[in-house]
Amino acid sequence: MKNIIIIGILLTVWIGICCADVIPEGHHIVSRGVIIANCNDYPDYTLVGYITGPMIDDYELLVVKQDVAINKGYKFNTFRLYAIRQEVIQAMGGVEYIDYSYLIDIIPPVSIINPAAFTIEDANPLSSETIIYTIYGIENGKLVLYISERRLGFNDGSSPVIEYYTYTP
Amino acid sequence: MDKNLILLLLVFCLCAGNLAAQVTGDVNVDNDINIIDALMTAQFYVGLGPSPFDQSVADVDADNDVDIIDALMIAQFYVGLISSFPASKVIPPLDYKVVRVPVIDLSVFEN
Repeated sequence: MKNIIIIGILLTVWIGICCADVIPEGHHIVSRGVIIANCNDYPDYTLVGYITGPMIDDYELLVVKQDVAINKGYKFNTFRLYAIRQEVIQAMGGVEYIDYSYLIDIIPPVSIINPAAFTIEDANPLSSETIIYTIYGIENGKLVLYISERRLGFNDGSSPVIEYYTYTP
Repeated sequence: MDKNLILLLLVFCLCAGNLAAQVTGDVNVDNDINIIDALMTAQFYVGLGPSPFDQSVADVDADNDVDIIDALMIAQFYVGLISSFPASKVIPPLDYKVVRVPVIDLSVFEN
């Protein structure tokens, strides 16, 4: 009997994986925005999101703008972030002419908070989440971003919550 | 032996998915919630006595019982089908609090 129950787990989870694109019963969608707050303070760099995924033929580019939410689109897409110096963009003739397949081969991917909506149990009143990254500066040849703020909205009438974070090198 | 074989199959079936971290569900107290926690909860339920096992965080559905449903929910959490547990009611944790974005300069293309 116990073995049958465990096999039941396997089947249930397996079916769940196959249907992972559907909002599970008793869940709701939480919208998520990921913002980079101070891009304009670093004019020598352009932050470019490189998006690949099952619904994208090759790739899509997203040039990150200050205070504009990043969205990677379909939740199973992959979002990679690069800080491209302006001289590279000028030399190549634009961000769209950069050989990203070459970059992917030589540079490990960098993950930020997944910029896509997600689902949560209805018992949890969370309805929106906005995550704000702030650029700290350059460390060891990399642009350091840290989460400086998170804003949480709820669907039960409770007041929004704002969390603040600091970064200590 | 039969039970272990089935539990191993569980691990193989669930080796993909998203991961987030919460205390509730981290039954082996390794600061991570993954398929091992689901496996150990299932082992606990069938009486195999996994160790280490923190029973206080295993009742993820808050029904005052550690059973196969808890193992299932931990597995669902691991593969991203749920993002929190009824027992926790916590907001999602923050991954990637600090990220270091590679700077692409001309030297990258010179090699």
